[in-house]
Amino acid sequence: MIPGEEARHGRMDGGEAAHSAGHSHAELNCFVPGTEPAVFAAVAEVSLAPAVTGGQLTAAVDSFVLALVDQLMAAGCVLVGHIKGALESAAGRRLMFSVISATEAPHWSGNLCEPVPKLRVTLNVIVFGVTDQEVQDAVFRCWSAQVNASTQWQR
Amino acid sequence: MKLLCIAGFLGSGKTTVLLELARTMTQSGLQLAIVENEIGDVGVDGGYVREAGLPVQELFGGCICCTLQTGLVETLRALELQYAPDWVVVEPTGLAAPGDLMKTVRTYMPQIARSRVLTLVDAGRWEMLQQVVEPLITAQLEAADVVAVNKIDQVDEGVVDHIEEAVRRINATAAIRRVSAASGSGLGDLQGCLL
Repeated sequence: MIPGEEARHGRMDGGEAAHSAGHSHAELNCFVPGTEPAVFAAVAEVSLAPAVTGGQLTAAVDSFVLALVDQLMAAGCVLVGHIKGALESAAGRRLMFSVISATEAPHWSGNLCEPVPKLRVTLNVIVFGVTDQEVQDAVFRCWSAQVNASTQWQR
Repeated sequence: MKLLCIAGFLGSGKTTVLLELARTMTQSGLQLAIVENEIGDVGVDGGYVREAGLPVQELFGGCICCTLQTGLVETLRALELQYAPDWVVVEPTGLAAPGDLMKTVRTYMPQIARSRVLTLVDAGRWEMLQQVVEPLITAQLEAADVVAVNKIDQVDEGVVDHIEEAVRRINATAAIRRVSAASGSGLGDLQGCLL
């Protein structure tokens, strides 16, 4: 690991105002008005009782992603940039998923080997045509509905 | 130190290509360092790269082509001092305009001996992305030295022909390669074209 990770710094020229998603391309006009990207990125500590297997987790997260995409599309989302995440056990085992389509299930990699009572979840969502607040509300709502676990979100 | 920027829209396969290129480059004796950038405050891709045993620096909460320019320069300087890698491979967020990123690099890192921009195109989502983020896709292609049309296994050859023609209209000088990062098809040729 390189020292000094997770640095946060400002611009060098300060010439542009940042727009949606902490991004600034005013001169580039990258996005059709109304379809700027919305971002949700967070880590959650999840407690599972009883402990669950990797298969149970992937099924729950598949349902979460399906419900999330449905709600975002209903809210006016025009494009799924990506929805991706990692589920990490205390032993350091990881399951990772990603989806870039409103019509396909997530692709999974990694494994957890044995049932886990606790997880650290990293979730990153970038979609177009809705607001950051709409994405956050949908994430919290769908996670609560689809994943039966005590969850502490940290943003 | 040389710099390779692997650009492309979200989901175009940047991390998959990065890992495969890094694997073959390190096998050939080159020392690499990786810079991963995420728009959000937490990242996922850095974990993939770290699991591959590569030194990785993550920059969160903005885009290194604009809001995190200073962070990028400081990171590159730190990598040069600490690791003196042969190549630093930079994966910006899928919302980045690599032309702006390279302008920053050339202005503030003139000691970089060589820089290359690889832009990935998601063949499966080309038409959809043209409808929603065409200006961004165009900007990403305009800045490319090499364009890799990825996921060619997901579409018909005629679709790839059409994409190549469109890419050529945007950037007449970039080399264009057809790859499937998932299967590894075309990646050897791509690396030869890049380095």
